[in-house]
Amino acid sequence: MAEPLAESGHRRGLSAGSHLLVQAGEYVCALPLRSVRRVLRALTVHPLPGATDELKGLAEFGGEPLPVLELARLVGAPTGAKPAYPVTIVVWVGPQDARELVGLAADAALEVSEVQLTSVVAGNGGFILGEALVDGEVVRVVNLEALGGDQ
Amino acid sequence: MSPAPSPVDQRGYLLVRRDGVLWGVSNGAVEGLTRHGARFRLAVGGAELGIDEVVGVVPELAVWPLTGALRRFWPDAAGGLAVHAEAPLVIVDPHRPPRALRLTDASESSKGEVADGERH
Repeated sequence: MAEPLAESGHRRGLSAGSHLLVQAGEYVCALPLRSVRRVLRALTVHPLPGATDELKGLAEFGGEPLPVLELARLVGAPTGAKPAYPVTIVVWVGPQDARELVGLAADAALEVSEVQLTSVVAGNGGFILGEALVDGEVVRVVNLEALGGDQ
Repeated sequence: MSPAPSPVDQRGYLLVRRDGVLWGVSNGAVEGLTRHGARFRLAVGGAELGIDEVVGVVPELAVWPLTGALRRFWPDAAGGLAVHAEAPLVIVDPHRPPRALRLTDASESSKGEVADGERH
């Protein structure tokens, strides 16, 4: 099995401010790298009847069922162009003592970048921690801990 | 940090499909299976459920509990999740049959015939 991204990044000297930038509709979102387990070509998703719009459905990951959420819906991003290489980003969500794996469907994984949390502004106190400037572009910084089930 | 949820091995599941979704029902919870034209009706927990296809029976499944994140975005009842042949499936809770499997029209409520060799 390939090495988890967060662990490999730690050995390469990536800091706690390291984030994976991903395209979600017309937004660029920043996911804390320590919570990212894997980036995959978009997994096949089986929709669940009665699910909210944010839940694309269930996929299989490593022999286990994995809920897959639509990142653009979660952050309220306008729909962008049809992605050429859509991805599923497998991440840990929820508080550290009760974390769980989910897949985030996104349009593309862009790069790893530093996001200083002291520079994040205008958060909603929930899933979107706030916005920050990265290389002159506004990115939505995502709080994956708030995506757990007991929020 | 708490350990990741572990699957629970349980034996004997009937696998069925409805609207493209794969469901698993513990063999012990199946009270009857009747054919209605091209479709089937499954009796579970005193309720009648409509299904499109009987996929088969598997001797065992590793069942994972529903996670909090999934419950947040999918309010229906279920007994857990599993994977069969690389496809995820939802385990029916016989005490709380899912809304997604309820009979949807009067034609499904008419008396059917027992499917040959498929009663459990």
